[in-house]
Amino acid sequence: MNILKKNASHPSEKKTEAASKGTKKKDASHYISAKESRAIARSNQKEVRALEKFRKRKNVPETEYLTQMRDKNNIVEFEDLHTYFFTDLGVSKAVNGVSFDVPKGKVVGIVGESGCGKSVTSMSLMQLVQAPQGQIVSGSIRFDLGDKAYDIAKMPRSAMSEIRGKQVAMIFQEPMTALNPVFTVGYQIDEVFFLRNKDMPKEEAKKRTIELLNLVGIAMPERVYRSYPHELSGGMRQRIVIAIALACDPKLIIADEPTTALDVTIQAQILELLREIRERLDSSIMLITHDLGVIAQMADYVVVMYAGRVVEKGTAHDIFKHPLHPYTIGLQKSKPVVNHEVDRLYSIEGSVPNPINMPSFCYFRDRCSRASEKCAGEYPAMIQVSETHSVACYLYGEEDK
Amino acid sequence: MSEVILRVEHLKKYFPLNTNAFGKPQRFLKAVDDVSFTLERGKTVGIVGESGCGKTTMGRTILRLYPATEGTINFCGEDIAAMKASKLRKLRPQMQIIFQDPYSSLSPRLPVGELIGEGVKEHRLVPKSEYKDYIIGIMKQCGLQDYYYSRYPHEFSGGQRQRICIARALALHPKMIVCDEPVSALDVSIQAQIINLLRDLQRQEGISYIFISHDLSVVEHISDEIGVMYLGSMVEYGSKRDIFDRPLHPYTEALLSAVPIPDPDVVNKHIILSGDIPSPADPPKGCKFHTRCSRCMDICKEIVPEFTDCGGGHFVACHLHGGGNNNISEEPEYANA
Amino acid sequence: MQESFHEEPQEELKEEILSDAASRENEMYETGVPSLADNVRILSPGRMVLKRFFRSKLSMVGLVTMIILFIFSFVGPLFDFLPFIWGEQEADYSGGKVSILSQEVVYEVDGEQYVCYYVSETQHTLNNEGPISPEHLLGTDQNGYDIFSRLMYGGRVSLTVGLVVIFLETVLGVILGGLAGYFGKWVDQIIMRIVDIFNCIPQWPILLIISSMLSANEVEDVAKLYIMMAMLTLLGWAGTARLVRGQILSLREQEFMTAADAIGLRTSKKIFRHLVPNVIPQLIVTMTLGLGGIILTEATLGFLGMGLPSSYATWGNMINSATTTEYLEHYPNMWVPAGICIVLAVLAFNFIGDGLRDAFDPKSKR
Repeated sequence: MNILKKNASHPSEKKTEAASKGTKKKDASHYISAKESRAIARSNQKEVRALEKFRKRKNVPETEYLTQMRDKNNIVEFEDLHTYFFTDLGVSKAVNGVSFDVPKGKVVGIVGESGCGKSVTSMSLMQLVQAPQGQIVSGSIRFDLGDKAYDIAKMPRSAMSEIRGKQVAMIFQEPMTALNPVFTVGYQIDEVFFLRNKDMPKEEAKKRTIELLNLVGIAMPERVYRSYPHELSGGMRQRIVIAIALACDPKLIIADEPTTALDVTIQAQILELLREIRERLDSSIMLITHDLGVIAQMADYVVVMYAGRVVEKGTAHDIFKHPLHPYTIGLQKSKPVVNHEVDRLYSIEGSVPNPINMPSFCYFRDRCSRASEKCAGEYPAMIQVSETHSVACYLYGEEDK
Repeated sequence: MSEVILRVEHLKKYFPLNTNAFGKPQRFLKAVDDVSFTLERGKTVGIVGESGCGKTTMGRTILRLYPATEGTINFCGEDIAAMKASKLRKLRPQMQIIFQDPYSSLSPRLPVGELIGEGVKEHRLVPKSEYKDYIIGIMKQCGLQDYYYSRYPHEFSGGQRQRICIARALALHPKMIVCDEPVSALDVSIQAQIINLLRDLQRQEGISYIFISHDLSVVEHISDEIGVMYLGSMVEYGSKRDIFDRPLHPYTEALLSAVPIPDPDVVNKHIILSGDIPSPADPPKGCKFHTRCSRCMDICKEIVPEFTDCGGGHFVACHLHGGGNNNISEEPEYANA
Repeated sequence: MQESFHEEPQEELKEEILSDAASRENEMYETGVPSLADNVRILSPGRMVLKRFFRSKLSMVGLVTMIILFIFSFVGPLFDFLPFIWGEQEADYSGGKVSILSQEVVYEVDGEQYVCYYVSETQHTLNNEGPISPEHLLGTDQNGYDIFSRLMYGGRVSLTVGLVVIFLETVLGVILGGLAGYFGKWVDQIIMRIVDIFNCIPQWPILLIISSMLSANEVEDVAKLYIMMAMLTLLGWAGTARLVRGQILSLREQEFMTAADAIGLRTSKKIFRHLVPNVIPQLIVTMTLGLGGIILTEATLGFLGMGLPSSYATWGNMINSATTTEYLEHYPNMWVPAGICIVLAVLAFNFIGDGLRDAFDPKSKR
């Protein structure tokens, strides 16, 4: 195919002249003017101040954020969550009305491209969104603590220590930066035990740390206990990070791209380990990744996100065998699969939008191959196509009704 | 047989690790240890391997961005490993490189048009009057809008930056481009765009690629021939179908099985390699892979296996297939169909 | 039931979507649907830096102070038609101060003591050590010069010396540091050892020795100023060179430099188009931070009486008057204003430098 020819019919041809004459002029509208910039700063400041005040309150009665789970089998329920970043360019709606559940003892995979809000969703659950720009604006995150349930979106920051590191643990992408280079591995894991139980004797903590290191498949736990993070390889470090996450016996583990920084053969080891752990413990796992292969191997349920919204969710079988949303289909088709040769890869044209100043129509419309008249309307609502499977796309609206 | 663009023979690149009192190196990091292959016009050689296997170093040594320690790099009939710097500079436009990280590979203080046109100006490839039109033509060919000409790289997303990098290489009309993990830092949907762009350019311009990646599925898609590297050495080399349908080296098999397949019904029979990749500064004796190999024999721990042809240009360095016997047919259980 | 719902429309749809892909590529730009990726407008690079700079209140205070100081020093003396603006060495002879000197002399004549008082009355023409008045906003000094006006002239000298010295230091530092960083090996070794030598020369003794040598040789006043600036430059460039070298060493490892190599750029282009522009932000920061230091050094020299002759107005010279107890105790108007000016200038440059550092740092989020 002749790309040159394709581009020759480009509507911006008119702009070519302008571009060759004075590109500066064209760019003027591309940049934010000083006046707009000031207006943005002013409105940001107002909103952030109000939200920060709410978040920083002290001595909030527990009743204010006590809530009821919709379904007893869920550990976390996200409902219409909005997390915004108040940036210099405008309000970035990183998470814009996300709803899904994490059932107990299951693995929920969240998949999407960079900037789709998958990490921000999990950060909102921990209230670790970078403040003061990042703020949970509305919606609710119901978290089941066993005897009661909290709405994390309404909790003040001071109460969060109850959740962080005790009920929820995180595994990060970059194992080197997640570990403190000046402390030994053993010390860093022991610390978690002391966090839960201040009076635990040192020997007891060490014993349990070594047990944990055994659990995550480290061959010489005694030696690793005394070593520093830089003395270990990438795969080992990721095992340590997993051990730290498991140390607090969490109800929910958030794994944010746990294997992206690792080599293929090491990735296989870590995935195997996560699978083992999942069978052995009854914690739920929220697995965030852009790699569909990893999701397919690990997850029971899959949530597909695009530009801050959930476009499709269902069981792994639903998503991989019967994908409905054009984005999900495109995502699966654009990744070459070993031993499935195609002449030309399917590709979703255009690039991932920055979630600022989003219009009200479907965010995927300009990249969608199936866009129709209807898509010019409001953002499509989530449509339940089967018990477990739902999709936000106009293609499926009427069949259901 | 079509025209051979590049013939690499016994290429070695050692980095000195520590020196004695007289500044003489004592130990070496053998980043690239005796690699040979050929690249034909309009074809792609894929290089696969894990981190630390020396694939990036090899790519840069081929372009003589690092001087080679030993071996010859025959590019269009001339040995660039031993070429004078001034002559090499004239040859630079013919061979280009695209990097993994589209963020650090573009100087942040130059506008896009300058970045792309820099080499064109330097080597006076087009007359001044046509310069701007030429650059805009190249930008369009790479899917960039013409009004990006005076914008700065920080205003672009990763995919578009990678297009700028491709445009920068393409503007010099290269015969060969070394693609050093060009898509691994990009999103899945953008990866496909970039791979398609690279393929289209190859068909239009007849460029040859050396495509370096750790992602087997991408390499399979774009390559004609594939070399598998482990700790600086090529362990297997052959046509795409040889490598994927009939992998001979146990490491290749493990690599292939480690790729997660996006299908929940397929239960991968992973060959999980135990242990970590040894440090390239201190590789194991004998076959470098023997510490992680499930079919390690006594001989593997002592003797380095020869890189031998198993028939039809399918080379492997493994004692299981040693001696140069054409014993592919005798080992059907390795086929990974 | 779920299965039956899925199967048929699904396969069909997939096919459709895929077959669309090829045809769509041609149309892609013609559909007229605005691309959401282009929807977002961004801040231009300059505005982004300004925005980050002005976010910090302190750097704004610094900037305002600096502007006021510059206007005060460079524009102020132009208003010499105003009654309270005097020339740099224009003494006020209009003073009508009367001082009465009395002396008691005791004579002894014929065994009797006579006390005689000599009374003399002098009309001072020179209005020195004058009090604060509408004519002299801060009074006059011991030579009858107007202090307020001399603050302005002093600012001229201090700020000019600072700017010139920092500029020379930077030029020298960039050239030598750049050479060392780019070429490495023996070039680096030689230059960095010279830097080390300059770093271990004790600054103050050298400056004091030189200035006493200058006074001993009766070097002209203006030449003295130039020599002093040269000395400050020589003693200060080493830090800049080290900074530039470090920056260039890390930039050299960046992939865009490898790309420049691969393109086959000339060395001069690599240095001046790729390396130097990327060092400039850090340079501006160190330059502003260094300015404060140089102003302080200059003032200290003046205070020690080692700078320009005292007839020249510099802030340092003006504080010099505080060395005598009488002026220290009774005439704070003669040295406090100059001190305040020095503090303000140094603080302002430091605040601006800090603000610039945050503004140029691409990683800074706040």
